[in-house]
Amino acid sequence: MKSALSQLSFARPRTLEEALTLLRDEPLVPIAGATDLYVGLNFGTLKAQRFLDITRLEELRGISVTGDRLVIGAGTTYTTIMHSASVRAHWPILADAASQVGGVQIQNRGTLGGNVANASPAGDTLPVLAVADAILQLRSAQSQRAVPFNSFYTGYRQTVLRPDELIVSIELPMVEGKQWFRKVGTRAAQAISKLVMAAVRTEAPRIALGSVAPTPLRLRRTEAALAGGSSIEDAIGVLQTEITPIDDLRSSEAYRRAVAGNLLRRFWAS
Amino acid sequence: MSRARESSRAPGAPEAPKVIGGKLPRIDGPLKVSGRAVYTSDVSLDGMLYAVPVPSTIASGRIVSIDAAAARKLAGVRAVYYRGNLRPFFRSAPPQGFSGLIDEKRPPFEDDVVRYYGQYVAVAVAQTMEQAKAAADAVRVRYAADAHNVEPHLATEKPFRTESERGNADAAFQSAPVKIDQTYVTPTEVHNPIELHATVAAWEGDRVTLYETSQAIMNHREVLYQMLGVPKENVRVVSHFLGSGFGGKLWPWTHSILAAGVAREVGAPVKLVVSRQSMFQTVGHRPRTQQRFRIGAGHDGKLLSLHHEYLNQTSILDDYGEDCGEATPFMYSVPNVRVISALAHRNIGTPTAMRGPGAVPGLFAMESAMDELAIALNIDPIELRRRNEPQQDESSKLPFSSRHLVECMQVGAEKFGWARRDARVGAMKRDGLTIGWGMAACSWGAMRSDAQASVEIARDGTVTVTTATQDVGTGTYTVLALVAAEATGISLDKIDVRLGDTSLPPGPISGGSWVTASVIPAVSNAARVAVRSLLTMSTTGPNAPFAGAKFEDLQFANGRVSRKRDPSTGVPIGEVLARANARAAVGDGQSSTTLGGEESKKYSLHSYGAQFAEVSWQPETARLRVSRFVSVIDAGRMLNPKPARNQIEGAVVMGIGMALFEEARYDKRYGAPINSNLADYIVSTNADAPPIDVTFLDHPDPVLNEFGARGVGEIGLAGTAAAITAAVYHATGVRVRELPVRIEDLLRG
Repeated sequence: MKSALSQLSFARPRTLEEALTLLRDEPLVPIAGATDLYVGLNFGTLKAQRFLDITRLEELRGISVTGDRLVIGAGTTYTTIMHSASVRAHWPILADAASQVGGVQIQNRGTLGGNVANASPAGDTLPVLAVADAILQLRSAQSQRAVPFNSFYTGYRQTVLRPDELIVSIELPMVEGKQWFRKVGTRAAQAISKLVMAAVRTEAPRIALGSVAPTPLRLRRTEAALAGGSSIEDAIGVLQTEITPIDDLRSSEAYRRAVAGNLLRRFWAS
Repeated sequence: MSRARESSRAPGAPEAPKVIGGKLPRIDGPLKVSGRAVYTSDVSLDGMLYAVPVPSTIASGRIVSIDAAAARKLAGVRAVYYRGNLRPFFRSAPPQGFSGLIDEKRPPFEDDVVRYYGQYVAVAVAQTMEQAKAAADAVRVRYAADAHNVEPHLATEKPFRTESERGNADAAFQSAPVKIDQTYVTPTEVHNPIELHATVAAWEGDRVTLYETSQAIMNHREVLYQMLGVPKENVRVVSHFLGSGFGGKLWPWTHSILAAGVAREVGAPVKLVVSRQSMFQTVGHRPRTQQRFRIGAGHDGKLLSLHHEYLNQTSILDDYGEDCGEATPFMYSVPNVRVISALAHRNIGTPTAMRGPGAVPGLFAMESAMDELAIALNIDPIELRRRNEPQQDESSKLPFSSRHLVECMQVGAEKFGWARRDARVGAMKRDGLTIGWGMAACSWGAMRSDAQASVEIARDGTVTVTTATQDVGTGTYTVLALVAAEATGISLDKIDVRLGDTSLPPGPISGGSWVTASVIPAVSNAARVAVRSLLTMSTTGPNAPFAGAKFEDLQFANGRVSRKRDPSTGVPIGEVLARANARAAVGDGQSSTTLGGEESKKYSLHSYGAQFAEVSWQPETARLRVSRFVSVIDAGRMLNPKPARNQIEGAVVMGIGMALFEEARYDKRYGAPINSNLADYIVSTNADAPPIDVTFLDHPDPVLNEFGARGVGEIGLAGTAAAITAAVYHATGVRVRELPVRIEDLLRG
């Protein structure tokens, strides 16, 4: 059954401390841009009645460079990321990915932390975070911990985030080497990915794919093959053993396998 | 009840240049961009309640019980209605011409049978929309489900119906030196205008005003008075502005009848806005078509036989026929033709007309087959069509009122640069992409329907034009203002057009691309009558300024009546009317339909065009984009080319969606359209729209009306998908015969 919005309620903390205390005492569902959450409410797939509005938390906003890391508050919108000089300088493919999420209204509301927490294997920014070896800073009222992005997902739409925790920031260590990003969708804009790929050409290449497995996927064995001097065709063979795409409304397994291989070839030749 | 009427013009709107054939922006534009235009779902009345229907969650079966006890206890809920506690509705009588039309004929709650997923089985009424939605969600319905049929492959057990026949198509095909025999499929497409369908119903005693999202208010009244069982004059239908309709808003749907019935029962005005999801189920769609098209031809490309055999899906109760063979009999010169059709009934909502009904899916099949024939013969596709250009309509044996298809193709070829085409598959490259070029011809019927209009010239020199047609957003307000300005010589900024109210003189439906052709003679006649009445008042009566003068000796120009020989004698409108003690000079005018009229017995009336598409293809990802489009249209004289161009551009963008993206898919398990939202039902975005070059040949059609104007609402979509799939073949070597093109299928090319 769908929920009438009037039957829902939410808390509106002003500070992170207040938010974490509320979250400790009651299992509230955090809302930031609500761009995924509203879809769930409308489809009747989100049963929650009580929410935590985290849009007023200054602590979750902003982009800074700290030492060798680009630090992005979890509540930073795609629009802010797209236009950030720091992001453009250090992780330009994150700006590319942000600019290809939804339409302008979605970009104005949707947040990087939300893309991570929503845990869709098709999330446009997630392969970028995977190749960045990003660190997620998670906080609860009692504790703070740093979780590598590549250990965050445990299965389809499953994460290690505890009900009393919020994602506070996402840290992207800087990297040398050419960055590469491709999103393949049905139409030219506002498309849900058939396939999304991010990669970095360093001595040890980094490669990640979205929409080819239950979670965003870092292709460690494909990377190792390329780093070890394998031919691109052999590396594509390894890639095929790492991904597990499916047939769905948006594409087919055969297409995803073929295009994943073609994109790897394109990246390696670039 | 308020009789205040919406005006087409915002206060203070600037005067625009007045010339027929100029580039006048829509005069209702300022109201729309400033948010002051009141659309149906914006209507808010005192004491108004909200209704939200309960859709069935099975596609076939019977309602066993409905339990609304929990729903009735929710906050703000006023009532929950279903079969048994709502006054029953009548069926309307069969239509007469274009009046009394309805596609889904069964009134809501007529029986306990469910025939499609989403059929309304109950409706909740509450003080707010949210409360009504919560109540609708809380209604418990038990069903006895039967097996449903939403099978996409279409077959019929009944014999095919013959739509058109001459010669012996089978024998000619069998003996033809070159044969094409292919089946083409177009999917279920949903209109998806951005404005949701909506009804606001307000009763006063036994009279009701229905604010509607309607492309045909007069027809809406004709159907609703019968279904509600009240006198016709007791029903008033209002539709001032539409956020488009594409045909989906032509005939009444069940939500409108429900809203009216519920408002009568609950004793308060009721607003019902159809959800986007429901719009995939309850307000029509272009049905899936499956068309076997056979062409027999000589080695010289001369057509010998066309055999067009098509089926379309329809609902269980309603026989909606998609007229795919509309253009087949007259498009080309060919001695042997057979066009036959059949229906396949499915557990789906009733289909309806969608932009270019019949011809658009039909031309996808015919023009694709023509492209395949051109390739089989190794003849340029333009040359192939030129060799088969008919001298007359060979099905009716009538001359064409105006046909310039060959010129459309020539002009299009020049604009597109067709001469530089390398016909080999995959041979053309640009910036690392493979380029494909394709073209198709197209046509759309030209018609005029009955219409009445009134024109008033008031003392302050303003002109009011009234007719009960409506503006779908295409520029009807604007074009009627232009015609009135032309006929009265009064400047555009003084002309107010009022539409969208059945209390005005009866106007036509906004469909078939014929509203412009139909209404302009009525308006132009009414304006001339109003001017003559002004001249008559100038010459008769005790205080007439030109008492005793013959009115042939007078003229009306620049807002003044004067002697033709001496313009300095001019008397302003206000003074003429004041001396006559008249509020205004008025005139009524009318147009008569071509349907069964003299013109249709003497002429074959159609518009024509040529569509040219370029696609770019990246083989590694099968990334496919339409990168350029040229459309050349022969639709008579263009009264206002700017909005006309908008119509063609919009149709081309829609055609890109038809070719590459759009398909409503029915879930076999539940029978529901599974992608019933705008994230999963993919339409073109701005980013998918390429540069579009639109040319109007601007040859007046001397038969259809004094201005030589036909309509342009639909023809831009005709042929577009065929031109794109021809270009896709040229780039990839993959011939897509079932729309939409899936890039997944191109990888194997």
